[in-house]
Amino acid sequence: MITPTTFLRARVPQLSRRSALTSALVSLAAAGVAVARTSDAAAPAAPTYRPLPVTDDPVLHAVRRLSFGATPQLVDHVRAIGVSAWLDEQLGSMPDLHGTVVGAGPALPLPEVVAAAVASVAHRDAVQDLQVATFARAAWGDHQVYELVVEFWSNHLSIAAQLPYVRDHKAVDDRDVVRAHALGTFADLLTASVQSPAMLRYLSNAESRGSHPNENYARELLELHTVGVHAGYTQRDVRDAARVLTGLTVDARTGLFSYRPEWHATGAVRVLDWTSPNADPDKGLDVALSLVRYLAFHPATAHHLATKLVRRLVSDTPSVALVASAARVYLEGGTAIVPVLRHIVGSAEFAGSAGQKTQRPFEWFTAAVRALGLQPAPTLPVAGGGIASSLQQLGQAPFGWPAPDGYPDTAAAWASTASTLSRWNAAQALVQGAVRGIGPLDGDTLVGTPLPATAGALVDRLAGKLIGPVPRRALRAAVLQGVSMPAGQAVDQATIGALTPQIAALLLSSPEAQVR
Amino acid sequence: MSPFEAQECADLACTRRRLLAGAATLAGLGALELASPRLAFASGEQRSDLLVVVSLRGGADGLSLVPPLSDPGYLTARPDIGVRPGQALQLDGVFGLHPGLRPLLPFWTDRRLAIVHAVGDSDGTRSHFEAMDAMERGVNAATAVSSGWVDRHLTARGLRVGDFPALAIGNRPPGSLQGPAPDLSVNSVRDVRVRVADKRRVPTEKALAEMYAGVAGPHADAARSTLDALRRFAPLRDHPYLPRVGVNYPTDSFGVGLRQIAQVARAGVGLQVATLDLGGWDTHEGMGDAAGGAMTQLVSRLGAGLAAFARDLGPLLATTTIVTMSEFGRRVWQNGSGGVDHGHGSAMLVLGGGIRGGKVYGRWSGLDASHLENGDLRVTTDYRDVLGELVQRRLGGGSLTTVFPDHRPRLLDLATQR
Repeated sequence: MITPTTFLRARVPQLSRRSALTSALVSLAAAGVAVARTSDAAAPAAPTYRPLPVTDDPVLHAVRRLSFGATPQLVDHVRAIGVSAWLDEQLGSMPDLHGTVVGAGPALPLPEVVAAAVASVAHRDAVQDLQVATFARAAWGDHQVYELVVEFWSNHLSIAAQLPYVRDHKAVDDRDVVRAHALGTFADLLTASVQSPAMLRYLSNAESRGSHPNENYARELLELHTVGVHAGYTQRDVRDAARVLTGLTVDARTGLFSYRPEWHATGAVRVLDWTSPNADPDKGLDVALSLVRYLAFHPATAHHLATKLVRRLVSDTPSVALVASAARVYLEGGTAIVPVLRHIVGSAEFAGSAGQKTQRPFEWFTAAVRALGLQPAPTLPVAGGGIASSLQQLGQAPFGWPAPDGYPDTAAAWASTASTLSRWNAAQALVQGAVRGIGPLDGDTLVGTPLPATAGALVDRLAGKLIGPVPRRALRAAVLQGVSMPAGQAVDQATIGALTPQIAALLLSSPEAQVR
Repeated sequence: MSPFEAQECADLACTRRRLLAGAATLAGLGALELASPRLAFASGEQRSDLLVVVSLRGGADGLSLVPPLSDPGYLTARPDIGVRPGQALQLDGVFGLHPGLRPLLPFWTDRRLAIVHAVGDSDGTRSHFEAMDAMERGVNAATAVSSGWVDRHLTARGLRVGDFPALAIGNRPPGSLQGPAPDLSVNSVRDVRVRVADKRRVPTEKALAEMYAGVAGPHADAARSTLDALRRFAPLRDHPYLPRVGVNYPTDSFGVGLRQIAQVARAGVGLQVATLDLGGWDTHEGMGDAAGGAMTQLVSRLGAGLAAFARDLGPLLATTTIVTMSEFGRRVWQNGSGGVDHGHGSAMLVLGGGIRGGKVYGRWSGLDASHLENGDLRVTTDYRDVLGELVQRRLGGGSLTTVFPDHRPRLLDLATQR
């Protein structure tokens, strides 16, 4: 029974914002401010809360953290060859980007059945198509770590794809910028990004010219893409960076990148410690690319990217030491991305971080689909309902974040009633086969043989498949209550068939099923 | 009487009775047990307005919303995108209202709509994310306080039995609600339900409650709030909401969101605070002019939505304060792409029964180059001056030093003491 004390109880404030809670309290106390109650100690009947037990299985931890959802097959595979060899396998070869191209749409390095499903779509919408393809690669593709890194860079160089002046360009950005360089160097990735029509349109640079340059892209290039907001640059630096970027635009006829010297603002420029005489309009693109390289190699960029990668892979509160060492690896490797990933994943902090990350909605959805063993429906829908709108309702459709800072990656940022309810309902929809584009649940296969003899055994079996080895006692009891069955109740095949979807939806709604 | 009747009840004692009646009804549904006595009535019998915070995300251009028509610098700086005197609705000798805000004009005329100009964060930055974050928290960017200003206000004022949690329309509550005070985020009142067969609903919700019992973490806290929301919204979601006769909400997300807020407000369940976003204000290019174009469309959405909401509240508007805010304003001079880049001073709209409206507040130093700050409209009124006065006079607010620890609000006298 939830009581109103739940509401009156203090919630832990969002720690990720900029500093530890303690410093917030210290600062408030120093200012003579009455500090809001932040513990339950004073409330007589307030319940105590404990963290979930975490797995001590390093393989399960690594697979959960580095994929879009653990499946029994993937866990078995990684257990057989070891985490390190799996990582080599995943990072060693890039998928063939152009292996399966469907019409004018994005490349789809996918199992054949999925590509066929995408190809069968009659009415194509460039953005929803790309969203569905992105989901399909994450849920059903074999290149799990690659997809994870692609997602990271898509979000770092976030582009709100549904904007009318961007929507036709994002698929090309996805293929030629993010996917092409996800495992390469950041310098190359950024160099491609500043010449990406989608980015130039999104951040208004395509229209920026001459005497009144548009500062939008310049500011986000510094603040979000490279050195970060506290790197010490000023409005002058932003203005000069905007001048440097003038002329980088999109050819209105072809939709391709073009550089227009007549739009380029010439004259000496300085951004942080980088300078250029910038005298020749014909050399403006070279000047811009020189600034981009300078920024990619800047120590503040190294620190910024390392912080975000550690937050993605290890913890909502990245440790100073791991960020510093990852930043060093980044600079020593000439901005190469794979060594940084290996460094972070190989760290003791990564190994000790089980339970420290919560899935965001996209990862939760793919993980649920993978754990349930759901297959793509023969036809992947594009418009109206289906996968894209489910992701939209969950709050994390790919390329759907409206601002250029990308989706947040901390548990606190996603903890809301709307977000929770949408997960619970998406779990129900998945087991009921109600998401168009995703096939129905094959309960018999999920349960497997021999058939469990009791309701309790059925819950244990499904928990093992969906959330990990042994369910918490309270979870087991809750699920049994949810299906109105005592643990020892004998179950036959028909009852198992009826109960399986209900039990699966409850397990996927559990706190255990949110762990990344 | 049913607490969910859509019957207005402007009288305060009545509101209070209905609030308690609402609590009792919920308790009757098995939803509410008595809160810890120490917290109940912690603040005595203070009364407050319903506060509705509308965040114009992206940096709203105050010089378009409320153009300084008589300032000779205005159209010089904005030959293509400025609002011309013939297009604007004249407010006083200096300012006009963007034609897209025409639906709000009656509220200006009867003095319930006030405007504060050249307002913003006096500690401001041009970064969207830093500026928004600081403003949500109500502190200077470098101040290490993680809670939001609305949350600190609610926490300081104390929570009472029957108080409805702060309501955020959207997927996630804004930063202003971060902290210990309870909040709910919903996209649609009607959809606050677990989609299972009716006969499975009770056991399913019970199972969810039990599996999260005792579990720590933000996600588990949100799950507990969700279960509470399911109960609180159960009586509302099954009744179709009928706005007041003659009120037509726009069908965009902003209009629909305001309609949800009105539904909860008019149900008399004790709603204290609601928040809502209207995005799209990062107008770096292609704004068009007041005769049409992107900016005019956006401003029209704001005007039509707010006017419908205020009219739908009816007599409840007497005890409601609606405030719009944005992380910063825009540059005075238009850029080469028919837009304006990030600047500083913007304008706030404050609407409600307790507002001394029909007046533009703030200090106007003009658009002459010598008065600009780096090409920006200088912030002459801190946004916390406005919010601080609302907290103090309309929201039963206690300590302003708690709500705004590093700014001492200088009151503009734009609100009456409640």
